[in-house]
Amino acid sequence: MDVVITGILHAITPFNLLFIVLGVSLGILVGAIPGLSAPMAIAIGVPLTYAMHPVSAIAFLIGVHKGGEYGGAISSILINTPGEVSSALTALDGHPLAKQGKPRKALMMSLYASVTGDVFADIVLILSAAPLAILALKMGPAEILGVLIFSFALVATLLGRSLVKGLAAAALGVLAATVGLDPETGGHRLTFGIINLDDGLSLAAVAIGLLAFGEVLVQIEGYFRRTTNDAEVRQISLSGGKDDYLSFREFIGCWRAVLRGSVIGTAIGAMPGLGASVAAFLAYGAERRASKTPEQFGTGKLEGIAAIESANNAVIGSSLVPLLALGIPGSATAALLVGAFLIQGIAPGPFIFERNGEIVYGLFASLMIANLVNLVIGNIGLRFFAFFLAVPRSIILASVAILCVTGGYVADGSMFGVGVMMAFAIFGFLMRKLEFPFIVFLIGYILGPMFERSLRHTVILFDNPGTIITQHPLLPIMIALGVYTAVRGTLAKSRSGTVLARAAAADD
Amino acid sequence: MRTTDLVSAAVLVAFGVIMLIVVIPSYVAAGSGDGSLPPAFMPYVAAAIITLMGATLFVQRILQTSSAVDEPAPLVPGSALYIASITGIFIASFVVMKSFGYLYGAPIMVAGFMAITRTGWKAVISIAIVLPIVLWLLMEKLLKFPLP
Repeated sequence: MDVVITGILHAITPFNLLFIVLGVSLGILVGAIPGLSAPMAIAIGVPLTYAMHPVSAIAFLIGVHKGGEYGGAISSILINTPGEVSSALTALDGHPLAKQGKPRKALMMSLYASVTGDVFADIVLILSAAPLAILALKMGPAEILGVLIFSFALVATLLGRSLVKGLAAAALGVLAATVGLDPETGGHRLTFGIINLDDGLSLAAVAIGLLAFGEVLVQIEGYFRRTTNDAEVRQISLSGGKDDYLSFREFIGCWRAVLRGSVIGTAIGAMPGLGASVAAFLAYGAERRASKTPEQFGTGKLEGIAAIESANNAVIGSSLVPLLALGIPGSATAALLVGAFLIQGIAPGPFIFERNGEIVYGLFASLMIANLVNLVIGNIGLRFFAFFLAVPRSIILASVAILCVTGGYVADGSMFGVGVMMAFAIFGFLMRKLEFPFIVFLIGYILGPMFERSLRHTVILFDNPGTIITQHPLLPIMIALGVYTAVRGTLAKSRSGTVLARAAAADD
Repeated sequence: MRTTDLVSAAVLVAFGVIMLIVVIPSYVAAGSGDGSLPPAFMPYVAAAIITLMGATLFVQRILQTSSAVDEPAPLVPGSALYIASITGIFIASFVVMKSFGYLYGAPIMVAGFMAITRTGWKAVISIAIVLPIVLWLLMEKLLKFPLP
């Protein structure tokens, strides 16, 4: 109980509250600007958390994520251009509502549904992470190896359009993770005599280059090829009429849509590889099927906005379940949070509850505070967000580029980090253009050391493969499940090239 | 996209083979004698998977029927020029930043990118100067993190 109280006390310090407010505000702004995304902001923000208390650091980044998912809906509703991929469907009903002179009503529904989805998923996280971690503590290296193989198969299958490219990306990530000193023998691996490589490649520098700068390069290429312009953004005024406010009755009238979206988002988020876009797509489809007036969807129906926004925000909390309970990041944001934890000297996984309990409970309290902050800032800022949509994208991209350079330097404490970041920016650009899932590379890079460690220990502990099958049946079961997932996923994609598969690929 | 995939598959195979035959044997320390797996084990596994996946992708695309719907190539001839330009900006900014400091190198990158986006020269100059100064003040004075 002391651990819980200490954690909550950490969460309510003025310093922590300030960083939650900053994180949520930054997230809403970044999410609202088309072309920028919450993972980009988190990648750049990770090195800046070096000097912070662990709870403040993680709370700041979680705040960015929560704010970013809501922020994505703002540009979807006001200018019919999604700020986040997962908010693309919000434009279907949000923008028509805005054009009917009710932009504020659409934004308010989006905000309240987002916060409700957030709270629902956070409660599930709080209730389920610790019991799952207790279960995970009973796993030995063979079981962990099985879970990792299954996770790789799941992520490589679901993220991106080709399993082969996904597995190649995962292997490239694992290979990059082997750079540095061997953890068991201390021997040099692929360091080429460069002292800076002895500690391996900086995770933050790799992530910033791959996620943030790589995306900047893709967008600037549009200007280079003259396919993009700083076109004038036609904004919708927020000075709507009397019917432009969301009443309590209207919100409560959508409770089924919000609940359905929250449940779908929470379930999807807990599975590695599936992200907010898939959750939003499934929730919208489920809502249409359940509706008595499905033909009205796409014309400005509040239930449509409610289902999508509650689902894509619910993914945030539940995506932390596999991260905290098993140490497995299932999304780009979760992968970046691993980096933030490691910077603080904390290894996410089942031991975190035992060794850093106060941090975990501080994080849980911060998640709830961030929901409240999101609600307050979202309400206050309704009239101001539209202004930021008018900033020319060229200025935003140049600003992000220089933030990346600064982050690369902070990540490594030397110009070597800047060089690594720049190299991975070009690598990330090429991966995007060639449709290799760069998130899978990053997850492979993060899980590589854990995979190698469990593989080594499994080999040492068990000379006879037969004993593994009899004594540790979870390993062959997880491998079989991984193969089944890969085959099913590949067949489904090749059969239909479904919208769902594209949504999963978009979560890259 | 088919041609691009064939090229990227060939690059993957070449990279994997070079890693397996040349790089890993030369640049990974020799094995341990305590029954544990040698340091080169995981690099070999990863490089073997990369080679295998490259070969699989190559075969997949070769066998792809001509009637199959194909998407336009994401990399066009102009992409090479773009990557060269970006690399040039990176190198110039990196060298100047390392030699003279953040406040000299950062404006080169901002100005270079804004020049590509064809922003007006007045905006380029003002933002290329103001933005690095603001970030430098934030890092050096507020967060107490020294920049180069």
